[in-house]
Amino acid sequence: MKKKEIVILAVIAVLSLAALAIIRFMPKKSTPASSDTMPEGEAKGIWVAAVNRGKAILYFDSGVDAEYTITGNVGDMTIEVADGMWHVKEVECYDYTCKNMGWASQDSLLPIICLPNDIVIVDAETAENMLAENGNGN
Amino acid sequence: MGTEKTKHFVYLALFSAMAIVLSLIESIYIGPIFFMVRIGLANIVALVTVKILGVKEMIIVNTMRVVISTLMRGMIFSSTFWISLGGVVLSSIVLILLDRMNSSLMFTSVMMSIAHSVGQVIVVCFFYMQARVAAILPYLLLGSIPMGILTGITAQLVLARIRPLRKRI
Repeated sequence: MKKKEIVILAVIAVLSLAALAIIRFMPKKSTPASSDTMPEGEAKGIWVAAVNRGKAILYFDSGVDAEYTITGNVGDMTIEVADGMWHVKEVECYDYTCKNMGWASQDSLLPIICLPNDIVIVDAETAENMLAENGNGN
Repeated sequence: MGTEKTKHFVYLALFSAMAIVLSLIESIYIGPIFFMVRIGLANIVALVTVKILGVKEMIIVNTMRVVISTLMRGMIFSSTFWISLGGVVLSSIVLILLDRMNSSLMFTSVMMSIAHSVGQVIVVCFFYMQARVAAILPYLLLGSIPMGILTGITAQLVLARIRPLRKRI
């Protein structure tokens, strides 16, 4: 590798590290306000939605510890909710990226996405906006 | 002339088959090495193809790899297909540009790996209307550097063995 090329790669690595640091110390997202399109009642935590093929297939309360099983394009996905956080406990696919993403909460920057199953797990407000932009709002 | 053309097609078919098999092995048996970072085994074939056969053939190999591997997994035209295509298109563009600029194989490999990740993230952002997904880019970029070096070294080793073999056949 030429010296110039090594410098370019070093710059990319440094910029990536700086971006990681910025993401880590970024102010946390504010709690989304409830809206009348969410399931009835006030959530103990926040309402979270699982979206598949442009439709919300599950809404759950992040404040209630539970397990939910939904079906995506490839197979079933089990979502575990505990202590205001949620993660993919089991999934039938070849990728397991969503499972490896670990626990998410209302402060998480990244939504949980399973590409093979075409499932996105995000807070309900973001899901509603996403569905409205896609023209499939519930 | 006819024999040369046949040889050329045989090489093209072999490289396409290798790219498809490596892509399938990686997606089914290997998966992400760390968090979401994959090795990018099929990139080795793309690098070797561009050096042995040329740019046009590399584009054919990469297109075949995306179309046939997603078809074999029953994912053709699904989100996985478009995301895969996004990565391959951007990495192919980078490969063509760096090849024209006579960059080293290792640097080309790393930049290809980075471009692949960036291409995939761009498509995911559009597909799921989630700009927040871009936050994953720093992780992917950092992971792409060692993975690109790994595929670059492998491509160098493969090229060293294939080039003399090709002259003999």
